Amino acid sequence: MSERVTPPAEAARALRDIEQRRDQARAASEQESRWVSVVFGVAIFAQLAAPDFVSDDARSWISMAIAVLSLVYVVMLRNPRGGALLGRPTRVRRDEISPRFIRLAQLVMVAVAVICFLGTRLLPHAPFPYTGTVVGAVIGATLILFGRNLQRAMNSLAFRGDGKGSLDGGTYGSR
Amino acid sequence: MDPADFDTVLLDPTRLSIVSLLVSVEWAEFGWVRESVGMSPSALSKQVSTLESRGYVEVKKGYVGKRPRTWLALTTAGRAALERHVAALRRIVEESQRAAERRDT
Repeated sequence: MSERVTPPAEAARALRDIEQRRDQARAASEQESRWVSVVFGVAIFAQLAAPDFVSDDARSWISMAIAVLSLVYVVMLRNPRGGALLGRPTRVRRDEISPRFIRLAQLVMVAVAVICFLGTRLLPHAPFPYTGTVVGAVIGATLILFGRNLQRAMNSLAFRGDGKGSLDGGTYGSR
Repeated sequence: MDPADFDTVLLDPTRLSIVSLLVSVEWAEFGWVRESVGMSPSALSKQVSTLESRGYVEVKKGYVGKRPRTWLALTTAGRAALERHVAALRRIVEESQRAAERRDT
């Protein structure tokens, strides 16, 4: 190739390469072992189906086990060894995530906790038998089968495109 | 454009790619970085050693089960160097765009 690359063209190419590498790193946060989705899918199913099959004592043990499982998951996410066990090769920096998304995620988590709490109280009085089992099976299966897609959709909302980061700027040339 | 604005270590495209991969993450597994940049383990080790000697990258070694693992993380100095380098690249592109606009008018 005898094509001469001018300095501005080379600089634009370097900027595009930097952006592509950053996108690549963000996309890697979608990677996680399949067993993680399976464990959480089964846990949600167990939590929602429990009122149909087990006593109140056993239900409280299941709730406790799920709380511990969630805590262990969060701790594992925060360190490289735990991340490796979960099949995650990277952890995205918090400042890469849009503050608006963080607020929205916090609201959604509170809403889910409230719905789960009300659900476990109301499901035993549901008009149809095994309502909790059916709802748990649907949510659990959705998480197992479409967990990766849900994560990808959340990532597309999560990463900041507000240009406030010191490395964020215009896009140079065609992508 | 003042050449002093550029970071000589980051003028190498491979090292720039490694640092760009690390800038958005708290850590990354060596194996993932190697796959992402498409290099052999020894070639990547060499580049990482250069970045580590400049204080741009921190290398942590450990075990997951019985398997040895290596993790890479960008240091504050590495992040600052990339920011300066990106700013210098942007200035070149913007000056070139302004020059082109002046020629057109």
